[in-house]
Amino acid sequence: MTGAKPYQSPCISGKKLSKFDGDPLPDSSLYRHIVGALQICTLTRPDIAFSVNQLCQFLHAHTTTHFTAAKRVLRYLKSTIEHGIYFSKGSLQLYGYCDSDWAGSPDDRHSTTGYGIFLGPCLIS
Amino acid sequence: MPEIFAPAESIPSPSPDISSTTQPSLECSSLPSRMITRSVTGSLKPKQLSDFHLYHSTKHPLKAFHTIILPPEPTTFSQASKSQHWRDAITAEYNALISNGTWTLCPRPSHKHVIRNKWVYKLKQKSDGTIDRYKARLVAKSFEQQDGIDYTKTFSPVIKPATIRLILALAVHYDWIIWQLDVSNAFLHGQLTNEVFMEQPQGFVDSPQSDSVCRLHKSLCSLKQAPRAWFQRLSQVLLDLGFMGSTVDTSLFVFLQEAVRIYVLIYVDDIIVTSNKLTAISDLITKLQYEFSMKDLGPLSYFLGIQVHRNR
Repeated sequence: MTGAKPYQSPCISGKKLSKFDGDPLPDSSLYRHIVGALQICTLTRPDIAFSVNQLCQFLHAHTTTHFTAAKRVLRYLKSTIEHGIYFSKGSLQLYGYCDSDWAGSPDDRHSTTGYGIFLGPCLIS
Repeated sequence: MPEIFAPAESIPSPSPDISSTTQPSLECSSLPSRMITRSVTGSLKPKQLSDFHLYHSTKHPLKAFHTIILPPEPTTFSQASKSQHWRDAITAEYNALISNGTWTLCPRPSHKHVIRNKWVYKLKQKSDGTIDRYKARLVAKSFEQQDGIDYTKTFSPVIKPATIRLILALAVHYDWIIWQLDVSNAFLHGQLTNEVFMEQPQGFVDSPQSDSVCRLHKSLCSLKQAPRAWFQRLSQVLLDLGFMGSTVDTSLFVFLQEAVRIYVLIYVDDIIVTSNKLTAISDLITKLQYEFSMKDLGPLSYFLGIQVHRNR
């Protein structure tokens, strides 16, 4: 991946991952390694949290499509390697934002919920 | 500094002269006119946001991309005993174990099985990739432990990421100093509640009592209950010092007395302390150093693979 082209977004907007896309891959340990490493990256990179969550849903049986998506997140990280969380002074007011996609999963119609909680200007969760 | 990915500036983006000759024929053949796109001009550099900071680590989980050549780590005792570096490392570890009172020799018990052990060898690297030190560790073969006999409970809490971020945000807001501590040989401080017997370590078998075994008093690395024993020990010390365990996150300890507030975050043997009084931190460090051998790492800079920069 060292020679990979940087990419501007961690996932393709509007395209949902399904467990029936692409061809199944036999060896899943590489995929699991990558996704596990990406999960650690979400500590300081909330911007990839959604994409990584999507990838995590196919750890048991991933396909070529999911592997491409995982590589895309890596390429996105490459283009934004200097990003991180910035904490600054501000109020101590707690703000919460959330959104749900109302049965957005193409496989089983489960919903995905996302949230962000800010303490003043700082994203904490 | 070894980095996994090259910074964005040094990524070879398609140079303008190549893209002007080859790219347009590929990219723009389907377009109605010769539109100037970013792929044509070659300006694929990401927009850099000034309010983001560099958080890049060398202990990254993806560090397999590193290409620094190091001497191979030995896998067996006979390999390691050929090198002076590793022999010194083994002796140092053995002396640390003995001075810590980790075990006492006793006759081989007939009613219990004895777990075996192994030396493992690890090269510690500095952040620039050079050799920091040779480290040997005595580990028990914990897969030989039996549930209910050699250990009962193994769960040990660790800090939640949201708590780290919350405490960092609070510290920034109140302009508190954040201090980092590291406990050396953390697992060796844990007191064992179960009776565990272990063979004598290779290379240090006591010749007159060669059939004796070690009865463990303190926990050893890789014992199944080691993290739990350590956490219980540390939390007990903190509670005795007047800290309260947070009800939200068990690895967060809070000290509230009059005007002094201290927050302590624990991730196994990495400890972060933040407080509104600088003297309170140094007091706490002195008290903890009385109990454990600890390294004072100074202001927080690197924690759990996260690099922290502070500009105040």
